[in-house]
Amino acid sequence: MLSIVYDRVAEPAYSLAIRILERPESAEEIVAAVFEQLKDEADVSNADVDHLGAVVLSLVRQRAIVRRNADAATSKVGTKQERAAVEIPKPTSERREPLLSPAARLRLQQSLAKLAPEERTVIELIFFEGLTQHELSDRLTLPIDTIRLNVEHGLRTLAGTALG
Amino acid sequence: MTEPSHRSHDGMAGLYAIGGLNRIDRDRFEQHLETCVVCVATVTQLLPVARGLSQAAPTQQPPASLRLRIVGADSDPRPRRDARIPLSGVRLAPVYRVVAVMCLIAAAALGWYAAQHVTRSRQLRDSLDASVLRIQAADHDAVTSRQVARELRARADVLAAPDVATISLQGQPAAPNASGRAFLSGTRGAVLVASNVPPLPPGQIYQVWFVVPPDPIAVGFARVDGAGRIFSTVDPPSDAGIPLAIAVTLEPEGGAADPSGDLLLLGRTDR
Repeated sequence: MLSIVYDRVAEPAYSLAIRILERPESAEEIVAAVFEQLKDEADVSNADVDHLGAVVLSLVRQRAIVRRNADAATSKVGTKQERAAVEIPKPTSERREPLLSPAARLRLQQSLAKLAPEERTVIELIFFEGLTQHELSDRLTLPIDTIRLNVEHGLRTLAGTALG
Repeated sequence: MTEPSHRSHDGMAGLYAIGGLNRIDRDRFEQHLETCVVCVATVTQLLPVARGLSQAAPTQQPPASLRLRIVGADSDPRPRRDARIPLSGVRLAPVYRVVAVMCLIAAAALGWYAAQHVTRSRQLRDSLDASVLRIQAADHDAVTSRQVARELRARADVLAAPDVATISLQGQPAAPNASGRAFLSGTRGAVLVASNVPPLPPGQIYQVWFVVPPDPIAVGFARVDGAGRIFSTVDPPSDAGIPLAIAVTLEPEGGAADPSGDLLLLGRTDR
């Protein structure tokens, strides 16, 4: 089962880690650590591939952001601290979104690239760098209301153009 | 007209969906989500986009070594050369036959030993599942406790506010025996207390309104317990000001944009 999940999600997971960390060796380390965590803590044999894939992507994002922040603060964070910072979400009864097909991924990447710069910037800084609205407001010297507006409008555009 | 207290949270659904709120803002917004159908609908619409974003990074191929490191060589998807040796026509010397029989006996013993371990590991997994269930139940209890604590803190905040005013609520023809009080703070919201409130009909909810010109504003919902009591906190928009009156009406589940159902309680302020 683990190999099926790996083959399904390794590419987006590794791409996500590189996008956040910008260093292939760190990205590889994070993806490997997440799969180790999955093996140790999740019931891999009974879960469905889409759920485990979503879990992998979520953990990669969280751990990569923890690593990125630690690197920025020039503090040492080992895999144990990263692991302690994230938890494997339990399967829920809510409707599960399947992982995107390669064509849908490409469409979403293109839609993200075509967003208005002020919308793309805030969405990417939040999602790939883990900034909050207050941190964004400080960094971009923008009112929080503007940030909220840009994020929501950008996400609605993506929902309409890429996932609609 | 917007949903109860929605305006002060306008635009936060997108930030919430992609993780742009800090812990305090997130807790506040989750509390708001319990009563705002507009924000619930927006979050529901935007969450799939947020999930999709984790797959929207520019594509990079992971190195082959990563697959080997994670799933090992045994499940390498590349076709491998068949390493089996055909046995037909192979004859073993007597000494090798003895060795082969001994190997078979050793393999059988190892098989039995492995079966014991499989049984033991199943027992451990069952025990672990039970532990996980207990932890989930404890987590659920903790979440419930946090919600109760949050509500109590919000009520205490209102009641202790220096500008709190008390408004008497009178039962109306739809609930003639009901009565109550509203504790209203211009800065910290309002708390409603009432008794002898009729039980809720299925599919309906008690909605609280601030009567201000030109139209009443929905400020939240009031929960009634089995004994006909209400003890609820509402969170009016920061710009709502002091209303002319506070009203409680019976509305369809999910709330109404304007008061349309039976009026149960009404209290006029001194404004």
